[in-house]
Amino acid sequence: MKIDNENIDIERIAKLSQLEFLDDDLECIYKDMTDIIRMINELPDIYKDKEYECFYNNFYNEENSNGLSKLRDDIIIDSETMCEKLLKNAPCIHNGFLSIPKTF
Amino acid sequence: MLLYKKTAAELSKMLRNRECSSVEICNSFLDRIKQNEKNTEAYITICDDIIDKAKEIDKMLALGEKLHALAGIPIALKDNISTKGIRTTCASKMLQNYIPPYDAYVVKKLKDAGMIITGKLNMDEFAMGSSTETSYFKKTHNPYDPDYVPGGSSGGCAAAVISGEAVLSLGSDTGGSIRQPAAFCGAVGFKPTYGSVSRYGLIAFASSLDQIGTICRDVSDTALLYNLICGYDKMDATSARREYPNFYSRLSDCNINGMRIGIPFEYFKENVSEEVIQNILNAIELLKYIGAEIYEISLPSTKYAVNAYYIISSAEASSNLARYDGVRYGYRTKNYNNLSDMYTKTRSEGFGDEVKRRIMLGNFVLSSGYYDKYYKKASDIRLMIKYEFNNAFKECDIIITPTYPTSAFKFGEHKDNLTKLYNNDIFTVPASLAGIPSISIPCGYSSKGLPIAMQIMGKNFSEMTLLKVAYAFEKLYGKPERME
Repeated sequence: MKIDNENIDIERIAKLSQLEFLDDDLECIYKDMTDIIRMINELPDIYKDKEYECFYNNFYNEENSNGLSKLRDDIIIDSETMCEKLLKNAPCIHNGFLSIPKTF
Repeated sequence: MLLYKKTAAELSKMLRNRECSSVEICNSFLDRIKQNEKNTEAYITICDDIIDKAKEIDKMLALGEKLHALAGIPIALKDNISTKGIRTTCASKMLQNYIPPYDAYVVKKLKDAGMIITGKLNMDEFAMGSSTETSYFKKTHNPYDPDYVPGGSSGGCAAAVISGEAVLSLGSDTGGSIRQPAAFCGAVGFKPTYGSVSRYGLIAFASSLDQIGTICRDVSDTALLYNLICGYDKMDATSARREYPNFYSRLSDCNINGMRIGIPFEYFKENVSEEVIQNILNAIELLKYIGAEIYEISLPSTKYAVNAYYIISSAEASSNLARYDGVRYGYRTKNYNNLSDMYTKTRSEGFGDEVKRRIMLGNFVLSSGYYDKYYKKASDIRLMIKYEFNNAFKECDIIITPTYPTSAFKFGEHKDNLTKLYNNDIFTVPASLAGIPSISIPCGYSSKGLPIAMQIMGKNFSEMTLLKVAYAFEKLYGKPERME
């Protein structure tokens, strides 16, 4: 299920959120999420705004950007393969999870 | 003598002068709750040891022990503040039967001062909402008109204080959750600077925005209660290590002659009701009359604040609420096939619709490929807003805006238009994103007789200035009576 041209799969987001929906509810959440994502999509490309330029020149320059909203690059990594590798080393696995001894 | 109509400052004085006892005060509030709770529905839990605690305080006072000014005074708490041995539900099915094993920092402060907790107040589920309609338990009604919402998420706090079911209350504010319900119910709502009140024991929604604050009937009570709860706490990594003045005793010096008030008129343009604008302008005229100087200022990036707020708060919520999986505490589904199924079914059955929407939005904006587009941009906007506020406070001492674009709305009014409801947070979310203090005080009534409020914002740790201005205004304008 897609939202506009954004290539967003609502079922995938539900899975990431550890949530499940009945078909009727899924339709409803789909509509709500479409509206909300449309709202947040209204954020313009601030990096071209004169306000951002002024802010950047005065505050968010090379000198003081270290540690201020300096976020790592958004790189997609293959977490499924990593997961498989990890489970290979585990002494005991149950339903795809690491199984550990009960402590209390 | 109707003690429930008195303020905490008045009750404290009466108690010390032996004009009444703590038992009489508590009984007055309990009678009021019994009489009025069916109309307001503000409480989720009412404590059963109130009179026993009041008797202990009366005994200590009779022995001449030196106690805190608020000893023997009852207080009610929003149901997301952890109370040892008292159910703390966050108004969610997920925590319906959760009894915390420890007290929040603020609760310990209240208990140490000898205050008496009357109960836990209704709220939007996990503090997500602005009408208290998303509570799993009940709908709280606006004391001015039961067809209208009390605001949210601390709707129970504002309704209880104004209906006389609580003398004082503590709430939490993430994007306006103290200020907006206070505005809707005609109370004084105070969100202090981020870091000035410990969040230890406050059930997390969005940790970089959450802040405990007060909802009281007037500014004096606000200062009295804030005096007690502010301060450094090593259990909260974001707690500010600094000295705080005695806000209450310094309140009487409320001369605002020459104070520079900034008005961002760009705020007043869109979707703000005419009667709200008129009442705010009248309030500004009153402040001018007592010596304040008015300056027009600009905060251009605040137009992006709502969008940035919903991205950041939902992202943090999706992480904070991941702990509710049925393993350690809270609700657990009865029927499941395996561990993963248990997680999913527990969360799907335990959370309400609004919480699910926010978790989904949070996971979406943090997911691979969308992080830069949404989260990083929102974080940069947050910095821009902070920067603009810092610059504005070079030109003025405080900034005044409406607290909300309208007076209270009817139940269900926004159920088909969520984004309009979200966009109405435009006045409250900038202060949350910047972490600055902000207070909402009543300044008029709508044509329907519902309260209208103005918001006063100041630079970080300028609480004394905000309280002084609010107090000066309140002295001129007056304060609302408790409802009959």
